[in-house]
This record gives sequence, C-alpha cells and structure tokens, in this order.
Amino acid sequence: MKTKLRTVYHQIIQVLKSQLKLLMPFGIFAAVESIVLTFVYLAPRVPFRAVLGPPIRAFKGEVYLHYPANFLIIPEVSSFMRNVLTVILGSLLAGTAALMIRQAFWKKAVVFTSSVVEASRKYFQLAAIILIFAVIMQYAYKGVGLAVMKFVPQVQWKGPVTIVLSVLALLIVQAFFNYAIAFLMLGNEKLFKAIWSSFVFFGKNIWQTLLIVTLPFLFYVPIIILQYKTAYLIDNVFPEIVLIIAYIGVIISSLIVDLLVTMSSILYYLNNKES
Amino acid sequence: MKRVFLCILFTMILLPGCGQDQYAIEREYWRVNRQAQAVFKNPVATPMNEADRVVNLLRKFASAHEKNVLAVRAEFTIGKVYLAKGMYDQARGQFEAVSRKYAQSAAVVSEAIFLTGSAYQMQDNADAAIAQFRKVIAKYPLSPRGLQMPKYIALYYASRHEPLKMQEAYKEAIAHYEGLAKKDMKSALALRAYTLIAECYGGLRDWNKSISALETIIENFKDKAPMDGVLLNIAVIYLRELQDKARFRETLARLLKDYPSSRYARAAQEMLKK
Repeated sequence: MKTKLRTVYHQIIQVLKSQLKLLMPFGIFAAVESIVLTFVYLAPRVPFRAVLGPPIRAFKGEVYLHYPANFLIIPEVSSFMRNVLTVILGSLLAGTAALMIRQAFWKKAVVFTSSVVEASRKYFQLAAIILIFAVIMQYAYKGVGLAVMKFVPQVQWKGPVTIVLSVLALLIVQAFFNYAIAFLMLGNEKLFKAIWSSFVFFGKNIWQTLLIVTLPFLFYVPIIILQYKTAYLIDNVFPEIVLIIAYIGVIISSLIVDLLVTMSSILYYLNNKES
Repeated sequence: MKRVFLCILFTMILLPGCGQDQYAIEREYWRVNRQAQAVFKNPVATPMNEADRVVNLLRKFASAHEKNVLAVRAEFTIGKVYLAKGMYDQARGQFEAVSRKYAQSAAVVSEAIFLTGSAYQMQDNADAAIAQFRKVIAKYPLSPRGLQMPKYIALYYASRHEPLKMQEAYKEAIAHYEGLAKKDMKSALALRAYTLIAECYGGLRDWNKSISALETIIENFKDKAPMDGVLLNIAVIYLRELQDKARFRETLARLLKDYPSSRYARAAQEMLKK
C-alpha cells in the first residue's frame, strides 16, 4: 500500500522536532547562496568590480554595472549562480541530507560529518545527476518559451502564460528526477540506474510525486511574481527592494522548498522501499 | 581560522558601503533625481518651498561631485525644475551658468542653448526660441542636439500651425543635412544626415524623395551595416503612403533575399502572405 502524503508530512514534523541537525545541509546552502548573492550585488563596486565587472560587461553590457540598472540583472544572475552552486555544492549536500534523513527515519543519531564523508564518496555521481537535471530543465524552460512564442498569439498576458507553462514544465522534469539521489545514496544504485529507477518510481507514484514537488513550490510563487516585476519595483519602490526579495527568495527556496521537497521525497522513498 | 575568515568576509562586504566610488555617486544622484521627478510629475501642485528644497539638493550634489559627469545632469535638472515651475528667467540663468561652466564641451553647451530656447518656447516667444535654436545650428552643427535642430525647428512651426514656415524650415533642414553629408558620403555623419533628410521629406509628405534618401543610405552603407530596417521603412512607405502594393511586395522580397536571417524576416513573410 502506498504511503499517504499526510503521513510523510507528519513524519517531517516529528523528525525535525527531534533532529534539528537535519537543517544543517540546507542552512549551509542558504548561507553560501546568500554570500554569492551579496557578491553579485557588490559586483559594480570597488574592489569587486575588477573581478566581476568584465564578465557582466561582456555578457550583459556596461549599463548593468551602474546604479540602479545593476538590480535588473540580480534575479537572472542569482538564478544562474544558484544553478552552478546546486551542481557544485547542492549535490553533495543533497546526498548528505538523504543519509541524515535515513538516520533519523531509523531513529539513529544524526551525524553531519560522517554523512558528508559518505556522500563525498559518490560526489561525482551526485553532481552528474544534478547536472543532467539542470541541463534538461534549461532545455525544457527554453523549449516552453519558444513554443509559446510560436503558438500563442501576441497578447498582453503572454509573459505570465510563459512563466506558468515554464514552471509546470520544470515541476514535471523535477518529478522525474525526484528520487534519483535516494536511489543513488540509499539504494546504492549506479548513476544511470538510479536515474532510471527514479523515472520508474515516479511512474508508479505520479500524483504523490507531483504533489511532493508542487506543494512546497507554492511558497516560492510570490517571489517569482515579484521578480517578474523587477523593473516596476525599481521605479516605484526603491532599487534595493530587488536585493531584499532575492534574499527572501534564498531563504524560502533553501530552507522551505528544498527542505520540504528533499525530506518528503526521501521519507516517501524510505516508507515505500525500506520499511 | 573560522573567525579570521569571517572577519575578512565582513570587511570585504562592508568596505564598499563606506567608499565613495562611482556607484555610490550614481546612487546618491538617483535619490536626488527621484525627488526632482516628483516635481516634474505634478509641477503645479508642488509647493514652491518643495521645489526650492529639490534645487538645493541638486546644487549640493553638483558641488560635491563637480568633476563627475552626473554633476552636469544635476545642473541641467535644476534648470528643468525652474522650467517646470514656470520660472523661465531663473531657468535661462541656470542654463547660461552651465554654458559658462562647461564651455569646453560642445554637447553640454549646445544642450544648454537648446534648453534656453525651450524656455522661450514655453513662454510662446517663438522668435527668441528660434534664435536660440539657430544659434545651436550655427555654433555646434555636429553635436547630437545640433544635428537634430534643423528638423526640430520645422516641427516647432508645425506645432504652431504655421505650414508655410514649416515647409521653408524643412527645405532649409534638407539643404543643411545635404551639406553635412557631402563632406564625406561614407561617414557615420552622412548616414545620420540622410536618415534625417528622409524624415524631413516625410514631413513634407514628398514620399518619393524620402524613399530616394533611404535608397542612398542603402547604396552607401550596405557594406558597413545591415540595411534590413531601412528596407522595411521603404516597404511601409510604399504601402501606407503611396498605396503601391507591387513595390511594397518587391521591397519585402528584396529584404528577405538580402537579409534572410533578419529580425524583420518573419514580419516581412507574414506581410507578404496577406
């Protein structure tokens, strides 16, 4: 019998109540992402301009190294940096989190350091999963954009339609890869076998998986809407509001969305595979 | 080790906040300018003391960053606040002061003279306004404002519903631009001049001559820059102004043949289908 999602969320609360250490991988990622975001914000300023200025000038243009235009690219650059960080660091921390959640699930002592060491042994496979996932997400995102451009007539709500369809495509791609890390770290499967097993597991648990990835994501929807209105906010509120929204976005994405998606996916996997 | 790392990190992050680099000056200007924009949005309802306060802020900024390019913008904005409040003499005084202060810069002085003319224009003193505009043409013909001025005078007459003077001004403008272009037919100045000539003929509703000017641009500059935009303009003139559908289609076909990957290609194809 399939585990109910309500049971999984109940388990998350119970586990977090007793094992606050489980927040560590997500907290570390949020901290590192916040530091990177701060550097993106400081890019037009001395001394950071010397290092970060040339790539921004080359890829975006000189204007984005001046106030307040630099705030226009903060959502895009921080999203790109988040993708890079997810592959480099997030993959290791996701593997670590999977091991820590299993320790908590079996009522064992949760140890961060030993979990990091164990996850680092499979670092390249973890990074490869996230990289493949990120590349497919990127293509899905661009594909939806192109499809909307081709098939949707020129209407005022074309922008919001593109965003909604892109998000749906991203959630579906995420659902396919949702259990790959669990199969790799907890099921001890090889890279491509783990990805394939994730696809199969998703196929057998379509609605639960879609809910697992979608429900926490709803917390992030206000940030997407606000980031879509970046230029309006700069003109009508104050430019620094973009940075504040980006920091709130980091907290929501790392400490709420990623935490809930990772914990519920791993616990759902454990309930169905190991208990 | 952790403490040392954290100290270095915080110092790196906090240091830029204390420095007065270009970015900090831009931020300061943005904040002052935003208050000026509030005056421009509703000049009548803005109390005089509020306008004075904004002028003082702008003055303070300009004197604190005298050598910065934004100081010039602040000085101009002061004049524009006076204009918005209907204080034309003060506005002209301000623009004159800017002219004296930045006498070396043709772009700044030509803009100051133009704004002086605009102050007269707002007072409906056409002769004095035109005199200032002509001064820009005579002294700084190649400055960005100087290049625009001959056509601007014609448009000014059009706004005053003086068609004869408007036509005369357009003809003068065309002669002026032709004179500039003839100096070097392959220069960027010639490209700008012929674009303005085409616009002036458009103002005179002489569409064949307007197309002829655009064709000159294609002939002289097709090796230097893509001419797809110019071809689209010609096509639109054929369709909307001359109602010549055959020429319209011919020009679009030429656009698609010469620039198949142009950003206008899709629009051109759709227009051809209709």
